[in-house]
Amino acid sequence: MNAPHDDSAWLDAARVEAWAGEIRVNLVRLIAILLFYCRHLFEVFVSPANSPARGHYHIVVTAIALAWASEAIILHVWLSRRQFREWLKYAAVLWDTLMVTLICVAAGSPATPLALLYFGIIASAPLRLSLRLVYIATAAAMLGYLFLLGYYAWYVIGFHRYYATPELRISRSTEAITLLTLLVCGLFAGQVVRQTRRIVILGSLIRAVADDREGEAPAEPIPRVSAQTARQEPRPPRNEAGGDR
Amino acid sequence: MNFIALVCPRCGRRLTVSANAPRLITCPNCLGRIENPGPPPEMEPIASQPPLPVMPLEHEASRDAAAANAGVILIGAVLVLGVLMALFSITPSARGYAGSFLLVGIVLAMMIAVATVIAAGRRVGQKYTSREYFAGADTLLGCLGRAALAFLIVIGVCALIFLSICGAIIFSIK
Repeated sequence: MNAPHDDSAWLDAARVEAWAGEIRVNLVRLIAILLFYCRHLFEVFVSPANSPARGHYHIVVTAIALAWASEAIILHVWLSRRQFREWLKYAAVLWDTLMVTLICVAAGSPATPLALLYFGIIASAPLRLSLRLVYIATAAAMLGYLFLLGYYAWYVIGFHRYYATPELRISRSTEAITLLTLLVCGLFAGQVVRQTRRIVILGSLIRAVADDREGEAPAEPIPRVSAQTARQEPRPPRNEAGGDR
Repeated sequence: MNFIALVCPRCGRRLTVSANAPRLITCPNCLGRIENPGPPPEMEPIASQPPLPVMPLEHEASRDAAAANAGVILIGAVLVLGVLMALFSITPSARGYAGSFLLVGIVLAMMIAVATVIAAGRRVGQKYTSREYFAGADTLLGCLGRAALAFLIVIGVCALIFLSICGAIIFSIK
């Protein structure tokens, strides 16, 4: 029996691997929230009573951590039930970007090291094996950073004061380099997805050629990967899957 | 190359899998778990190079989900600690009261969202059997759902009592 060797090899592999990737991303998200929030709590414990880490800042950070953890728990519920809808990965990335932006807003400045979390969002996108998701994650991260710049310059400092006081300004080169680095990070992430796609399609073609040769002459040894080699047979006219797709 | 024909027990799709496929595989259509009985004895063994030792996807996903179960419990404990610290650190000022309202509102919204998702999944997903869940996830989700529901009931009862007292006071003043 020969396996079909068209683009469906990629679609089948991408669907299952995207689900497994989302589970892995959710696990890393949970661990990251835990580590970052524990670090914050430790800072609150050791800081003096009048420290800026306490009081209102702690309340805001706790509220953001709660909202972010609720996303992780809801995703865990859905993924554990094997319910992985097409829009889920986009919603997760956009929610992550919103949370990073809010935490940076709470920190008060785009110069906070928490802005580095935007790179983590872009890095998490290729695990879902979707090129469109990588584009959206990159665009969302860049927009989030731009929003932070605007918030800092026009709201926290004030339009006139910001442009009149060079010490308060974030230099144009810093802004441009950060944005370009986010863009380059997105391009690399997209290339990961493209190469993975090529590997899957090429592997499918090699297997199909080997199957064709099987009856004629001894085939050359081809390494076979035993991870997930299920292929769907042609779809019946009516979908009986239960609407999880 | 030897292939085995399988039918997904969850969605009924026909699948062809390699003879080298692992014992547990995932349906590309509905993500259901399928047990691969392996090649029938009459199928000739594959003489070519043995498969590369790659971790099967189902095993990896199951392990990640089990770790996430522990993560959910841990993060719940840490967040409870953080919320308590925040509530005790609130100063009697307008900003402090706004912060406490924000915190309580988010905790409530979180509980409602989690309880809704768990309850909706239960109602819609009657066809799912417990074997479709990962190990431990069903128990954890059940506990989470019950805890969220109990919390909401307690909050609802407290709100009713509070409103009744407020109503009684307002009427007695009139």
